Amino acid sequence: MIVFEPGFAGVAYPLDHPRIGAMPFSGAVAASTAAAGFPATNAANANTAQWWRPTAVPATWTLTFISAETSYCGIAAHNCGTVGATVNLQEWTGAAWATIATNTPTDDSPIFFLIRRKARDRMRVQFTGAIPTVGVIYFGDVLEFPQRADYVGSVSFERAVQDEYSTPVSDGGQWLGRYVTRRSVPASMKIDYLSEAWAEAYLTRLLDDLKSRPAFMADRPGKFPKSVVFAYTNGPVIPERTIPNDRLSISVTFGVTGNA
Amino acid sequence: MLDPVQIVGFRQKRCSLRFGVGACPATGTPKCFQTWPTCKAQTAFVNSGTIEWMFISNRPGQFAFGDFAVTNQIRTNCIPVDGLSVSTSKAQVNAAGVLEGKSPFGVQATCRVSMRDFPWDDHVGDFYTADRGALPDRTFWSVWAARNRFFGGMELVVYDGYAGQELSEFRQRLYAVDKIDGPDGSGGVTISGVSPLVQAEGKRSLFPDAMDVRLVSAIDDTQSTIRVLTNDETNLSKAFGISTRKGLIIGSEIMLYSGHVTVEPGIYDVAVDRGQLRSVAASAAIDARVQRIGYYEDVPTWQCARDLLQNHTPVGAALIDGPMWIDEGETYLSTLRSTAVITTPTPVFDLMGETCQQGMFFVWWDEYAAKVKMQAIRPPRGAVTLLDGVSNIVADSVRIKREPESTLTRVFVYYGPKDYTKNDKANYLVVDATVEGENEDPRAGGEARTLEITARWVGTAAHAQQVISRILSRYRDVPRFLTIQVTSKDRAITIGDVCDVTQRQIVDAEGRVLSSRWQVISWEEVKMGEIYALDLQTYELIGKFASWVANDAPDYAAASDLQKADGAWWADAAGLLPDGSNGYQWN
Repeated sequence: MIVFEPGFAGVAYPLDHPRIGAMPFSGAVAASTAAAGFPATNAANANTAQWWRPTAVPATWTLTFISAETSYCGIAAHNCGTVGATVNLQEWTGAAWATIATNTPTDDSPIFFLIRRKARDRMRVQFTGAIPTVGVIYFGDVLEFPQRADYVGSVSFERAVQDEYSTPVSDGGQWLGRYVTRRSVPASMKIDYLSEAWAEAYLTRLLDDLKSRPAFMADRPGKFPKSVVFAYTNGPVIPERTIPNDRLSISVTFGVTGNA
Repeated sequence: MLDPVQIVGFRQKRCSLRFGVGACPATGTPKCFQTWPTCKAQTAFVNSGTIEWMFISNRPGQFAFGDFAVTNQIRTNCIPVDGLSVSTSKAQVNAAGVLEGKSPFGVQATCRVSMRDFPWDDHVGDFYTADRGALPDRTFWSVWAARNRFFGGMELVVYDGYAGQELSEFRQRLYAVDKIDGPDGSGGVTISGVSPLVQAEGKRSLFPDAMDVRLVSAIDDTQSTIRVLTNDETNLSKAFGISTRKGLIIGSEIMLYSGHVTVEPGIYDVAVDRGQLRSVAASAAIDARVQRIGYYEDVPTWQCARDLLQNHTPVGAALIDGPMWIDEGETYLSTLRSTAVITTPTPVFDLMGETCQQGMFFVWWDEYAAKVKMQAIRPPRGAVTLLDGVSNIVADSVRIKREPESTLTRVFVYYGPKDYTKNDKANYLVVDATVEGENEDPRAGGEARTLEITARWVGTAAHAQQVISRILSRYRDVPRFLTIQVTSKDRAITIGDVCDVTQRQIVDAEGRVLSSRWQVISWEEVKMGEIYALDLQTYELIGKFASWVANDAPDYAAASDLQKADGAWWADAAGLLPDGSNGYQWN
């Protein structure tokens, strides 16, 4: 689920332009509590199979980092929907923590907070209602694309789940049940008409980061707030020059697979 | 819709101390990884900690099944890996121990787990990550292999369940780790697991133990105290069998004794009764080899088998389903008793095969219960599972096979040995036999098919006749084997279960579909969490079979279904019970 800070309409581009939340900040991690075997640091990396689990709520997970422009928070590999936890994104006012966005998810899909861009040196996520188990918490500066993603032929990410089924029948032809034999969440997003200058300024750095770790990706956050994945690229992402005009020559397709 | 999930747990023991703390005097670097090869103070090593590494295929979902409540008994969260696969070779029981080409002890299950090695940062399992400084990029199995050298006591657990379930709801299969191969050039790792019963095979488990005990001085044929030399006093004190006195053999003479006296460490005097158990007292030279014998003295045969497994293999009591053995044994096998003498170290696996066949039971490793179970060759107990082609049997999965080579028309049981040191037919004083002449008739089977059993575990004619009749009841007709596949709703059906199968391929002479009775002799998971294959063997004990009920048991009409299944009531003059069903058979 994509969650907007109230009143937020985008930093440089409207909310129907794609966003990728990558290059997460590193820093000092602190949590209100942590269960044995589920330390707070487990949520400070991209590994979706290492989790932080507090022992009581309200629970907080705080990252303190070198001051930087901050415009997103991503949470993945969590079970907030299953357990019924509410997530509050909080910023430091200089005197206290203030909630700037809230979400009570109904499922365990990634949560992608998009917030006003400003310099911050710490951020905090507060969980209330139930004790969650959380694998990934990213804070960073979201990359907004200057063009919208291709619409025709695209699949909203939350519908991109590709299950394969097996359906045995009895010797007498009766239905004996259905089983999932394979699960995956492949997603794809294509963006055309990017300029050479923009690609050089932003895309190269993003693609370098995507080689090594997954990121949050949303194709039309304003219109399709459920269309978000936390996913890794299936292979190298190679922008192509498709139009002989360097102001809009670049096309890039992000083919990714999500597990969270 | 069910979403099957399979998790592989890999349990290993490790030290419960902390490096250089308390009872651990270790110093230096690098600090240990709680394992024997990395220990810097092996004399202080305390092997009471455990860690269970949990692996799962890469897939969506959160499987945070870690348990860190007890710091020395850790179960990790599920670690996603590529290429995780679990394959098993199924176990198969050999009911009545007769099937050609198979040990009477049956075929033991094995399990093979494969996966790809994966990057590893020691975020769990290493108590000293903060002390190690920067380490190179590394992979799990490559460092695991460097930190562990032996596989003894390691276990493989396969968890089968469905997404949304708690780990406690998953079914678990347990195997002993036999070996670990890899990682190979492509990162492949294979863990091989076996049924713990494999540990009774070959020379791993001998009964009695092979031992180095010698006479300190020569003896004549009357001497009642012998002096022996051994570096292990338990060679004299350990029980080999169930008997009032212990036994040993020198040459061909068996001696019985009750205890021994230490002369000095390594040298012991043993007061013996000479020329026991049909042997003749004889002189022996200095340094003559002394070997303990196995001796079961009028013990139910099933108890002999339990003692062999429990006390003379690594299986041990903890893995034996004691209550089930006692219930089966005391209910169905109490009259089959053995006086057996084993004079040379013999693989327990072979002896188990003999006791199964001559004691009329079968034994198998129930991976899910993680117990060695035993069932008598007996009528079904309680309700029989009904399976049919409409509700249970998966389309196109039925296979019927006949095994004429296992048919029997004659069974000979040789018993009453003249000499306990021999086990050939000529050594036995008595032979009991039954010949099914009808099936040998040229118009029928047309040939004699004979099973001869040299039965050191049989001591009486009644025992021999029971063995013969129970074997012939199952093998007088060509044994048929039915393989079917069922779905997860029927996955609780397991070895030993008796099923009435109604399937269009099984009909009477006029083509009417028959309900026929079969017994499950093996099972296999064909598709994880979805399809299970059952191998069944014809089961000739058809009808109602019963046992004496308690004095205060209700009348038939008031009895529960279970009471009706287990008990017996007199039928009326027409042979019918009050509800019109057929009466019980007197067997």
